[in-house]
Amino acid sequence: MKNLILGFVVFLLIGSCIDPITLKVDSEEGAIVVDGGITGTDGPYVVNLFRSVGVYSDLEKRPAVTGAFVYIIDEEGVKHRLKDDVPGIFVSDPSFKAEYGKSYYLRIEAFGGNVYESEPDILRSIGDIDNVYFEFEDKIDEPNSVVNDAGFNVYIDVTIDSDVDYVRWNWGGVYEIQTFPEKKMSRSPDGPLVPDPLPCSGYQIINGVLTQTSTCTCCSCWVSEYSRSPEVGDVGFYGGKVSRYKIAYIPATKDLFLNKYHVQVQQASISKQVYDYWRLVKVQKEGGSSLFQPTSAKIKGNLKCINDPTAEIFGLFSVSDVKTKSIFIQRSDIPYDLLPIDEVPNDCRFAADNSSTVEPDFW
Amino acid sequence: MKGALFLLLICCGLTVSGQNILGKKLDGSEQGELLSVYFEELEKSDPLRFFYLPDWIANTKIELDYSGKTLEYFLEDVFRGTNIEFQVVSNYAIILIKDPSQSILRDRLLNTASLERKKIATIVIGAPTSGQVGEVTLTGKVTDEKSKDPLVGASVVVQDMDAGVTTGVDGNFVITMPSGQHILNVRYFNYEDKIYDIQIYENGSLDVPLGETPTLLEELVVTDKAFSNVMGNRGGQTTIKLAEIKRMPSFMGQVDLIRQVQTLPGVTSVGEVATGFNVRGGGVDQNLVLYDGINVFNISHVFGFFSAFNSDALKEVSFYRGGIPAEFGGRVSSVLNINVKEGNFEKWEGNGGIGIVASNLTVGGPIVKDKTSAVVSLRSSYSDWLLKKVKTNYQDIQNSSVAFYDASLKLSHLFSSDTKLQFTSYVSQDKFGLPTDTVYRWHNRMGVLRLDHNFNDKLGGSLTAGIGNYAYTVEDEEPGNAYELGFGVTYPTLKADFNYNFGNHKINFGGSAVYYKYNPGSIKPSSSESLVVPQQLDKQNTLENAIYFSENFQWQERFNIDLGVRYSMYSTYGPANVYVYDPGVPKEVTSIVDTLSFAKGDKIKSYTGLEPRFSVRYSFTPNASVKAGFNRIYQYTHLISNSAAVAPIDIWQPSNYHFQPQYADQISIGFFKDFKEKTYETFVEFYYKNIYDLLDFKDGAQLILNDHLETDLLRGNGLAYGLEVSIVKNKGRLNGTLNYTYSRSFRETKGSSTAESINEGEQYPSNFDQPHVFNFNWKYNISKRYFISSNFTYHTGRPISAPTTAYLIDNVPVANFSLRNQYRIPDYHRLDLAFIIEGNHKRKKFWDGTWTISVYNVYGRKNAYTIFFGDNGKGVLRPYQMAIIGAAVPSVSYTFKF
Repeated sequence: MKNLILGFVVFLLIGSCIDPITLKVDSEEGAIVVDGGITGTDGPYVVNLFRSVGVYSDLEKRPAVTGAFVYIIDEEGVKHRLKDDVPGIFVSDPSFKAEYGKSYYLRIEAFGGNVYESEPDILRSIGDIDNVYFEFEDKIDEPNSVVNDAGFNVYIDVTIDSDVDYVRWNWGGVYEIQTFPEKKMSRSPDGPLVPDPLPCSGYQIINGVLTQTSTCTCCSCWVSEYSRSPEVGDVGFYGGKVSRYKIAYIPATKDLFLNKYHVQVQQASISKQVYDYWRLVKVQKEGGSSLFQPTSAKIKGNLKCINDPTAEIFGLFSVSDVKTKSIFIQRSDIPYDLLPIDEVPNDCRFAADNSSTVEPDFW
Repeated sequence: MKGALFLLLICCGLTVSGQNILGKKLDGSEQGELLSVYFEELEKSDPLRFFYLPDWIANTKIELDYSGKTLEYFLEDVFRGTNIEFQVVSNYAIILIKDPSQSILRDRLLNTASLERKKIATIVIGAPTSGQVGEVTLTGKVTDEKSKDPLVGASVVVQDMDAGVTTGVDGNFVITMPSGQHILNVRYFNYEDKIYDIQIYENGSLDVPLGETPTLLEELVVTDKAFSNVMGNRGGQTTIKLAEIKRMPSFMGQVDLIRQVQTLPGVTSVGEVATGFNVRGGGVDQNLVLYDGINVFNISHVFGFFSAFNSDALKEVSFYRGGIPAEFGGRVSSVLNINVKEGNFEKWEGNGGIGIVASNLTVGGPIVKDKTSAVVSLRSSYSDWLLKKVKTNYQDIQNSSVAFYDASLKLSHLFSSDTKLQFTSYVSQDKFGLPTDTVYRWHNRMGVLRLDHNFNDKLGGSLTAGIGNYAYTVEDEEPGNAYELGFGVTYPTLKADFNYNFGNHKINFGGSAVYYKYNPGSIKPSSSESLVVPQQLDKQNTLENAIYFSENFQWQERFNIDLGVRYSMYSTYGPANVYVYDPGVPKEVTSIVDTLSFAKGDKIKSYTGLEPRFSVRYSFTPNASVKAGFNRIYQYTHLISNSAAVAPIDIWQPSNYHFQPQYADQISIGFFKDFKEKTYETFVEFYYKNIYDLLDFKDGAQLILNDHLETDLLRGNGLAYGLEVSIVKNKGRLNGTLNYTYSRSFRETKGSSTAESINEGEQYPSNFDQPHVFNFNWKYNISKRYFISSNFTYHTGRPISAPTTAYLIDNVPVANFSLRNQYRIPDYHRLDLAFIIEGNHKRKKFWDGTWTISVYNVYGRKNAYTIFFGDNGKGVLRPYQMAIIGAAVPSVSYTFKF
């Protein structure tokens, strides 16, 4: 009983309780969201135009913006049109290449007559990612620890060019998963579970026997992960060289390390507006887990409607030089054996978000 | 004697005829003689006779020369102010008549008192044979019998005359009454009444030591007009009854002053984990909390779960939310004036409590009997070591730590009955460790010396010299990022206060000087591989001086007027570097055009403020009054926070080159009425408050370690108004308080551009705009030793900014928020219950123990503390509410007294 009370005391001091809640809000659904930009590398450059969704809707089902004319305009007034062969994804002509030292902005002439423009911004070269490396960290031996909490801290050493004021770091991960769609079972009309292999598994029930008739096309997938919280830095604070900046933490779990884990790190020069934008996003992301969360705020992007100041538009058109570097973390880097994976009887494309059967080139 | 009375009764029925004998002229030979002797002489020399009881005039001496005056004039003059009259019968008999009603009343009062088993002391001042005729004056002092502390506002009533006075700031009283026998009643709440059967025949003095009431039961029965709502001088003032707090439900067994303050009308709080409280639409930083005269910056333990004050160490707490007296200043919304208990001057004694998270002990007594006393209070949590013993699946719990303690010491020395020296010291310390290796520590420390002296009956004063310190540190031990972040403020304080009384005028005047030295922030790496760049912001030095004067007086019987003025003077000094910005554009790092350098001691910027204070009371009857007040107050320090609740790493920013002082104007008017002999006290009070030059943060502002904070803060105004309604039932087995407040609190920050405005410059609700607040406390005495008490609280959910839509940028889900504070979290309500078992109420016993069984949040409501926007892992973003306390919290505590 004593422990119960104390446990409770502690729970309410630290654990608290978190429940989903339905908040009645006046949804401002349907505003244009700009997501894209140009970089110092060769095109084509991509600008995604989708619409915002209500807070209870599915982001994957966000509607594409159609019927818009989209241009990137340089400092001499030259217009480069972007075309949306796939709805919502506007792509520049491959012949267009952005040049360092020149400024660019985005113009959207939307269906219905509203015109949106971004602030012009100069493309500045960023500097290299010198090194990407990782260290294994194991917390399993700590006293009283119940949860297996081990993983890889990923660090970078970078150089930032002198005329850059703000920088953004970003990372993405790719790992392989394996599923067993041939082991799917279904309930037969008369009750018991019977094998019901998915067609993509290559297996069929022939004369009541599970038989492989072709190769499996949905057993191996590659899952992409993205950093959900942006890392932005103001160069004055970090200096021209940054060493041992921890950019990611990859948990050493059996699901992520079926084989190996690919980490790609990105460094981009950004403008003050883009920096402010990502900093506020970071505040928003971190706020959720803090007792003393800063009041979240409306985050303004770097675009506005030039003919109707009340028309909302979200997002960013960035003019950034981007450098990337990748490494693999091997399963063998984990200093102990992992348990075998669970046999998921499903199409691997549905076993995780952002899952694809297409093997990446670098794999 | 029987014969004389008989005669007297008959005489009452006779007609008075003939006044000739009264026309006799006196020759002056009577001066200096006893009245009875002179009467005998007259009977010999003239054809007249006197009838009276010798007792009545035995003491009466003829002081003046009445030569040339008539006998009638002489008799009237001699008996003026007494209850003796005279009548002439048959032109020769002069019969003295004493009004018997007073004697009858006196006997009745004595009977009642003895039936109530009240102690009656008999006091004789002067002798019936040698005293003076007419009115006599009794002066004296009411003190605590143990600590010898003066009791301010105690009432001294001559019951048979229905006349009374209250004691002044030094506990002194002066009361006049006809010479003779009277019943004198001295009362003070939380103390036992003292009744004197007093026979007073000449001017004299009487010191009245009062003992604390051993049973708390009676102390809520406060019928004394000195404390009544109706007759108090100003609206918006509450004296918090500490003993009453101990009978209310507590959170985890900790008797909590601040939680009690939060139930008062006009006071709100943003949630369980909220340091401090909001008064009439003001911020948490706008409350002046004084601990024996010294500011306390952080009044909470564990982020606001518990208050930082051990209530056993406290003597008296006064709270002002309107009509703030001129002696207080520096914070615009309220004053919480805490006085610390003194040690007993006669014997050692103590009290304490044992709870599930913390225990406390207070011990005090004489060092030199009747001269010097000491009292020490300690309270400490023990949750930290118990935390480690908890077997749980929450790893976070075991790796976290919570610890706090506070300690208070008070030494008092009496040089004489007019001169007293006191020393108070107070320390509070908190430590909170998160599983992520981050440790928060914060503390208050202070010491203060106070000398009280009464120069004479009319003039008294005190001199206070002390120093306070508040600081916090945050340490992170994660190797690559290890740092130690610090903030602090140290403030030596000097004060002089005087009071001067003449007639029905009370004058207070004095001055204060407080020097604040702020360390606005520093960070240093705490491991060799840490990437953190060390940084130290410029220290900020400020001096805040003030002088004040106030006068309280009675005007035309029904008006009580309090007029005051305070003049505050503030300067900030170097060394410092101050950035100057291009005046035409928003303040940004990029718009810095110059840097001004100030050497040590150079004055950077000065501000002054004239603060008029005014309160008036108009009494319709002794049971009904109207009170109105106005006050202006300047505040030279600002708590800078960008979270809804005050976080342990929020910084206090003094006014400087860029930040003007904030100031507030408040008007209030209220109607106060008592019913059924003060069984019910009620009031309705309205207030309207404008706050100017508040600091507000820009969205996403970086507040910690920012040496150009002016680029992240904006200047705005606030507006608050409200209606407070309160009903208190004071007497009976069931008593309680019901408070309801309707209030609004807004902010408006309108700069010259959108970047310098909040919500496009429109007025918006402040973080603590909670229109409906309802509090209901009650206590029922099952018997003298068993009580049930309860507290119910309801308030509108506080405003928040809510996400309205969502989108993806670079695969990062981003929520689009509404403008600031456009939505609200769900309403808050909670019921607490307590069952209290007290020890027996014998006055003299060695040990007195009380068990308190409390349940906090009885019906287990999950009150939302905050709402955040969480990613459920599927790219779907949705709001979650976080409740700090999600179930009923039972607790048991034991308090004792010896």
